[in-house]
Amino acid sequence: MATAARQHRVVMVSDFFYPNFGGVENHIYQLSQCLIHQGHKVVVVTHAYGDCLGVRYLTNGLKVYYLPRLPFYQQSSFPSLLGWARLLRAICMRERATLLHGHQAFSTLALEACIHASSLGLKVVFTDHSLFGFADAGSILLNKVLKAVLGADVHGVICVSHTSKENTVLRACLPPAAVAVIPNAVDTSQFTPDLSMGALPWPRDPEAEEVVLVVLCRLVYRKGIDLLSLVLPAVCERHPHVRVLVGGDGPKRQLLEKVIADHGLQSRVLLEGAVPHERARDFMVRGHVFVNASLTEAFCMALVEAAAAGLVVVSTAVGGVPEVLPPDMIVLTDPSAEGLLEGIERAIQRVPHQRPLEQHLRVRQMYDWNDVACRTAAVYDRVAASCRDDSVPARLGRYLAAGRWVGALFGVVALMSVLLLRLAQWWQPASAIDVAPDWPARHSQATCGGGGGGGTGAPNNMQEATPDVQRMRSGKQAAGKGAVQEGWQAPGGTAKRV
Amino acid sequence: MTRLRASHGRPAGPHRPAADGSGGLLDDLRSGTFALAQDAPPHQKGRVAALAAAAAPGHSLPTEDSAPRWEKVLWKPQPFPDNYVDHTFLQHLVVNDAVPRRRYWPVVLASTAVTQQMSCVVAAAAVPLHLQAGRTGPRQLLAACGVLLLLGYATCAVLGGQLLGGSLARGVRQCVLLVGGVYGLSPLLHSLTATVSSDSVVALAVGLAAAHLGLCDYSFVNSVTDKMTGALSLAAAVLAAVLVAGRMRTELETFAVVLLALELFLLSPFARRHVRRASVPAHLALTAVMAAAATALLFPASPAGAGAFAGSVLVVTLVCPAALVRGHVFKAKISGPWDEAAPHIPSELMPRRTGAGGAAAAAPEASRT
Repeated sequence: MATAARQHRVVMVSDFFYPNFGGVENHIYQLSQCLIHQGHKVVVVTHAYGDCLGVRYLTNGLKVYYLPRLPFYQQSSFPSLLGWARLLRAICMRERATLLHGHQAFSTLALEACIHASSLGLKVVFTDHSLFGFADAGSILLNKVLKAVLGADVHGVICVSHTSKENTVLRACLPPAAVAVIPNAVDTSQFTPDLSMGALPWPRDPEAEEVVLVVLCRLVYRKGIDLLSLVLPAVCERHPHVRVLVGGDGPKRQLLEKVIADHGLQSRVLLEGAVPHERARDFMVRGHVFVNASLTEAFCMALVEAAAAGLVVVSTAVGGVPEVLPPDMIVLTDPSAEGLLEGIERAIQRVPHQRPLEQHLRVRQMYDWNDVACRTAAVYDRVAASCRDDSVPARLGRYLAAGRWVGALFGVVALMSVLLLRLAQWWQPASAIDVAPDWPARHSQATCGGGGGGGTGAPNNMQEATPDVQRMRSGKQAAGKGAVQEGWQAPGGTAKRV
Repeated sequence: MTRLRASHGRPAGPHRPAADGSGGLLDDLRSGTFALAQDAPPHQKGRVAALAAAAAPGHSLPTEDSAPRWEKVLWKPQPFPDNYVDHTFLQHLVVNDAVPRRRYWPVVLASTAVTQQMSCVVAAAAVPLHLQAGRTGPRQLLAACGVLLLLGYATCAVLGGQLLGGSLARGVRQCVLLVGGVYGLSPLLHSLTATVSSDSVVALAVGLAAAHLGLCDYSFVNSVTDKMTGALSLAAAVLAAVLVAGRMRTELETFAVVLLALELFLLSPFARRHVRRASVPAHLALTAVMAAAATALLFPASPAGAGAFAGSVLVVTLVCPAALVRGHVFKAKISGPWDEAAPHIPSELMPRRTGAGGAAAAAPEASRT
């Protein structure tokens, strides 16, 4: 077992990172923290979010490059193919990177970085976080791009669930054994059941005492809000002691408001609006049953969070959801109104038998970011040992295997990327690029042998597992805690804008 | 890390990531995936478990009793490497589920709607040519328009069992509004394109006519759907007619041309739909009459154009359906557990004015197909 025997110097690239919120952002942050904890070097590259531009440091010296790229659709940056190859080269040189890890299939930044990293001679790992269909025009286009990039440039692919792996293997025509399944995890120390004195009483008889259902997701079509709006009136009618808390915001909020007004449920269904992630646990423990009505989901982190917080979980059985929790912790339903209604009723029946603390301890054994980081590092080890022929002709051959037209297009892009980087090499040789000093290692390096989660200590940032987004947004820096701009770094004159 | 340690254990031996240089395997797998996607008989619906076998040669474990069973779960540490491929891989993949098998003659019958629409376009194009050449006058054309209007109105009343607009008074009022409106606007329409060169007008009109044919809602005429959609298509046709009408010599001619275009593109689909619903032979006869009339109208103006139109009618009616039916062999619609669920959601739940309604409206549509 190569336990951190080899230090990897990883550049994580994705369009999605804090201050934006979501599963991918959380995954990158937690994975980076745990990798740093294990003694690897990690920097994150993403595009600028408003004022959040330039270089920032997060907890434990996780350096984040916010590149001046323009997001154009759902925070994906505008595809420029060659636009930032030189910038990426400078970053990789400065950080002496050995490996590039792209995240999320529809992050243009990540896909472009994979091409350029391959031209730079780095090893490339790619994590796909989502499920896609095969039929609509957007999916067909994206699948072609994936086929070319994942087939030709990427050395190792990671998916977050087995269903996601099946999907990615089909979309990118990869050999199944080249794709590893490493699930997301949840910082279970943040999602604990509420055991304080003022906690919500846990009902013994769901027909006589109050039961609170909790919904927490973006209010969009894909999260099944339409289904929910069909089911909620029926649930409220059949169970007079049920109340519903809905957290989150989005275009479907009006629909819920209309349904609540039509059925006179104002006193029983509460729309709480957006709930920031750091308050998610406090929101969840106000209820007994967590309801997820998603229509598609690669790996639903919210389910694990709710289970860790001790709630009874009910979800539509879509995508990777059935893999996430053992059957005694989750009620799986058909993605239909009748199915969801029946599932919610079963979950309400389960409420008196629920043991929140017991469930929390079990979930703690199941998911741990350190475990995820170890398994990811194992993929890095394998990739670093790979001796695939990455010469230009071999790459071009692999591109052509993805299809005649798309292969030719990406072959041209790769050729131009190689030429551009050669030019950059001549223009700005490696010796002319400042090397950024590494953040001093403060921890003894964690080992990976710790016996499946729980045992190994998570990084010491429990109180601050998500960076202070408010401060990042406002652009003010405070030393010591969250974001520190590079200029504040004391040792070495490396405060140069890249 | 039980999982990682296990990579030295029993089941792990052959599982080296194939990305590491084993190009042969990679190609085999790719072609295997491909061959399967294409060779699968399209009419055979059901699970294609063979893909799992084809995609993962040599990765299925010998089923000993003592061997731990792999489970498709994430919550449990399992003694298998992360890139383990079980024989159940892609078990729930379904190829060509719920894809209807098309047959030739029904497709030919459905194609008649396209022929009718093409005939309308050709007729609307030929009439201004006749007017310009002086082979007919605006009064004859207006008379023809009146006859067409009455015929269509009678068709709807007799076959549809309902009067257009609900009652006779409302129908008449709508007619008067339509005709009066166009008549009132005709001086404006007449001078609208005076400053535009004829080349541009013709080029634009041809492009708009093509757009009209491409975007037209043929399902409505074929009685597949109950509501005429395709406002863009109608707008393209009307705009083309207005452009062409601006080239006429008198305002009366402009009026007649626009009126004819409105009747052909806006009103005639309703009458044709009733004919199609009432009787298929009548529908076929109507199609033949329309195609013949359009050819005859175009012939004096441009014999070559008329020939090309007749030829394209034959192609649309006979060749295109054959190509569509044959092309079905190549269809490989892949679906599986990763697909977005499409629950049935009653339409009254759709929010009326929000932008998100589009996505929601797509759902029942998807479940229908």
